[in-house]
Amino acid sequence: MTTATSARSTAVGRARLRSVWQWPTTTPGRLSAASFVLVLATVAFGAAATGEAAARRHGADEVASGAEPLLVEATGVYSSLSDADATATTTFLTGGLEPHDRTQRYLDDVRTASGRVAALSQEVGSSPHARDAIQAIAEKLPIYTGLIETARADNAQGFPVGAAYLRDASTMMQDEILPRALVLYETEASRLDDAYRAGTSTGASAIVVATGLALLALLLAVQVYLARHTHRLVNVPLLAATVVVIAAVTWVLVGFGLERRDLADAQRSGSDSVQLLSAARINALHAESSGNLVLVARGRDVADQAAADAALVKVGGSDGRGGLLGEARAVAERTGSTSGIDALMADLRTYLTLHAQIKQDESDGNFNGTTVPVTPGAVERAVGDRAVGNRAGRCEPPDCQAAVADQVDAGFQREIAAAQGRFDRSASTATSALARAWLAVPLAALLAAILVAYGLQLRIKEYR
Amino acid sequence: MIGRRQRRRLPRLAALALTVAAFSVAVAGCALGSDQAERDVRQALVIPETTMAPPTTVPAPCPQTVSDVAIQGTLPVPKAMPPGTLQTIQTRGYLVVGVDQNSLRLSYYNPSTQSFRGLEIDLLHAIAMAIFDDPNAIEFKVILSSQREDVINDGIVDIVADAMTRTCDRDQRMVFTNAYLTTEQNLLVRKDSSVTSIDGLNGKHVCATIGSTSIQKLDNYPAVHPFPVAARTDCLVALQQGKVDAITSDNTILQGFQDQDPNTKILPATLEREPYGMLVGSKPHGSKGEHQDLANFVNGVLAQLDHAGKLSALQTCWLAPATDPRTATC
Repeated sequence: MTTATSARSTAVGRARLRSVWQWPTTTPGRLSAASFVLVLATVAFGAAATGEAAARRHGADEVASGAEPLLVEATGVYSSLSDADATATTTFLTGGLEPHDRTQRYLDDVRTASGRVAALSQEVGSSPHARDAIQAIAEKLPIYTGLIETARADNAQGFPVGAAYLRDASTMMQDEILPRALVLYETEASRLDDAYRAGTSTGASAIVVATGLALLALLLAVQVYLARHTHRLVNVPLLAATVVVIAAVTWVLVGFGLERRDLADAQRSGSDSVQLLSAARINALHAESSGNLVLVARGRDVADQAAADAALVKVGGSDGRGGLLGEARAVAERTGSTSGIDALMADLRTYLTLHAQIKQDESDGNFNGTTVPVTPGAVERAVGDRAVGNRAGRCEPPDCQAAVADQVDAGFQREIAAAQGRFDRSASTATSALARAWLAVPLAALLAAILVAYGLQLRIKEYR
Repeated sequence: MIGRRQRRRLPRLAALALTVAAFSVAVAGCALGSDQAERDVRQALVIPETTMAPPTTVPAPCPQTVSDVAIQGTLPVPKAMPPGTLQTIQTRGYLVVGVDQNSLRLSYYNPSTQSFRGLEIDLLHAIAMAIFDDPNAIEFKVILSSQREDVINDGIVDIVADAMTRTCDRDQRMVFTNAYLTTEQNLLVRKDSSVTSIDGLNGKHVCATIGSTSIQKLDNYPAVHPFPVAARTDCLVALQQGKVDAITSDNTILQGFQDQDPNTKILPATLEREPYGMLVGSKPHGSKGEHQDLANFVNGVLAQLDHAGKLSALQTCWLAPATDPRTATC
C-alpha cells in the first residue's frame, strides 16, 4: 500500500514533470502558455498606453503650466526692459520738469523686470545659456539705472551732459542687456516648442496602436483556437477582455486626438499670437527708444534713425499692414475676430505717419513740431513759408508722439492679453482630455489581464 | 539727421562793392533771442552806410598762412542783399546754421527754456539781423564736430559756428570768416589728479572729440592714448566714469564741462592757440562754393560788433566764470 502509494505519487510527479516539459504539445499546456503570453501582452499594452498618456499629459501640462508661462515671463522681461528704456528716453525729451506718471512708469518697468528675472532664475536651472543671461542682466540693470539717474539729475539742472548719459544708458540697454533678455526668450521659446512636440507627437499614438492591435490579434487568435478545440463557441471572459481592450485603445486614441487638437488650437490661436504680438510690441518699443535718441541727439545719429525705421518695418511692414502684425492678423483671421488687431493697426499707421513727419522735421532741422520749439522764428516758418512739420493743430508738441506711442502700446498689451486668454482656455482643455485616461487605461489593462487569466483558467481546469 | 534740403546752386560770386560801415553805435546790452533782445539788436545793428574801421582786436590766427582778411566794400543794408550768396539767403527768408547743442557758453540748447544760448548763438543772431532785420530768422541744425565740413560742402547750411579752429590745414580747403574768439587747447582732469601737464599723461587715456583739432594735436604725444568720442559731452561722461584720465579740448569747452562738474580742474599748460572762425564755404568746388561774399559780409558784421565794443563785451560776458551759461543773457 505504502509502496503503491509512493509509486503512484512518483508516477504523478513524473507525469507532472513531463507535462511541464511537454506544455506546448498538450492542449492545457498550450492554453497555459497562451494565458501567460496574453497576460503579458495585456500588461505591456497597459504599460505602453499609460506611459504614453502620461507623457502626453505631461507635455500638455508642461505647455500649459510650465513652458508657456515661462515664455510669457521671458517675453515680459524683454518688454518691460525695453519699455523702461523707451519711457526713460521719452521722459527726457519732454525737457524741464519730468511728468510724474512717466517717472512712475519707468520705475514700475524696472521693478517688473527685476522681479521677473528673479523668478526666472529659479526656473531655468538646466540651461547654462539662460543662467549666464540672467546673471548678466542682474549685473547690468543696476548700472543702467545708475546711468539713467545721472542723466536725470544732470538734465534737471539743464546740464547737456545728461543727454550723453542717456545715450550711454540706452546704448547699454540696446547692446548689452536686451540681447541677454533675447537669450532668455529663445531658451524658453525652444522649451515651449519641445513641450508642444511632446504633447502632439504622433509616434506615441503609433506605439499604443501597435501594441493594442497586437494584443487584439492575440486575443482573437486564442479565442479562435478555443472555439476549435473546446466545445464552447464563446469564452465570455475573453470576449469581455477583448471589448475592454478595444475600449481602452479607443479611449486613448480619442484622448490623444482631442489633446492634440486642443494643443494645436492653443498654439495656433493662443501662444502663436502671443509670440507674434510680443515680438511686434518689442520692436515697436525699440523703434520708440531709437527714435527718441535721434530726437535727444537732435539729428546727429543716423544709426539710431535707421534702427528705428528697421524696427518699425518689422512691426508693420512698410505700410503698417504687414510685418509681424500682418502675421498676427492672419492668425486672428483663422481663429476668430480681427477687430482688435485692426484697431491696433490703425493706431500704428497714425504712429507711422507721425514718425515719418518727425523724420522729415528732423532732417529739416525743425524740432518745434515734434518735441521742443527752437526759436519763435522757426515756428513761424514751419507754419508759413515751408509749411512743414507743424503738427500743433493736431496734438500738443511735447506729448504728441508719446501719446500715440502709448496708445499703440496699450493696443499691443490688450491684444496680447486676449491671445493669452485663448491660449489658457485651449491649453486647459488639452490637459483635461487625457486626465481620466491616465487613470482609466491602467485599470482597463488590469481588468483585461484578470479576465484573460480567468477565462483561460476555466478551460485549463477542464483538463485536470 | 542732417538735412535733405536740396543743394543750393548759388550764382557766381558777384563783385561786391561794399562800403564798410563805421559804427558810431553804442551798444547797450546784448540780450538776444527775446523781444527785448530783438529791439536791442535792431537798434544796435541797423546803421548802414557808415564807414567801418578795420578789425583791431581780432588776432591773426594761423602763424603760417591763415590771417584775418581785410573787409572789402560797404556793408549792404538789411533786406537789400546784393546778388550772390547773400541774396539767395535773403530770398529764402532765413539763415541756416550748423551749431552744437551741448557746449555751455558757446552754443547750448536749454530744454527748459527751449532756446539756444551762447556766444556763437548771439553772433549768429547778429548776422541774421544784418541780413533780414530780424535776429530770429535762423534755422538751427545741430551737427557733430565731424560733420562740420560736410554740411558746408553739401550746401546743407550757410554757416557753421561750432568752436571751429582756423588752421592752415583747414584753410587750404575751407573758407573761414575772421576769428570771433581765440581760446587755447587745454587739459581737464579730476580735481584730485596729480597730473600737471600733458607729459604726466603718458600711457594714460585722454578723451577728445572726433574731427577736432585737439585730437589731431594728440598725435604729437605718441605715449598718450587718445580716446575718441563722437559728441563733446561724451568726454565728460568718460571722465566721470573713470574711462579716461583727462579731456583735451578748447578752454571754452572745458569751462562748460567744469560748469557741469565742479570736481574737475583745467590745467594751466596750453597745448595750442585756437582761433575760432565760422565756416561759410569750401574751396574744392571752385569760387562757386567759396561764398567769399558771405565771408566778407560776416567779417563786416564782426568788425562792426568789434568796433562797437560789443564783441569783447559778449566774450567777457559769456566766458566769465560767474556767468551761469544755462540762464544768462549777455
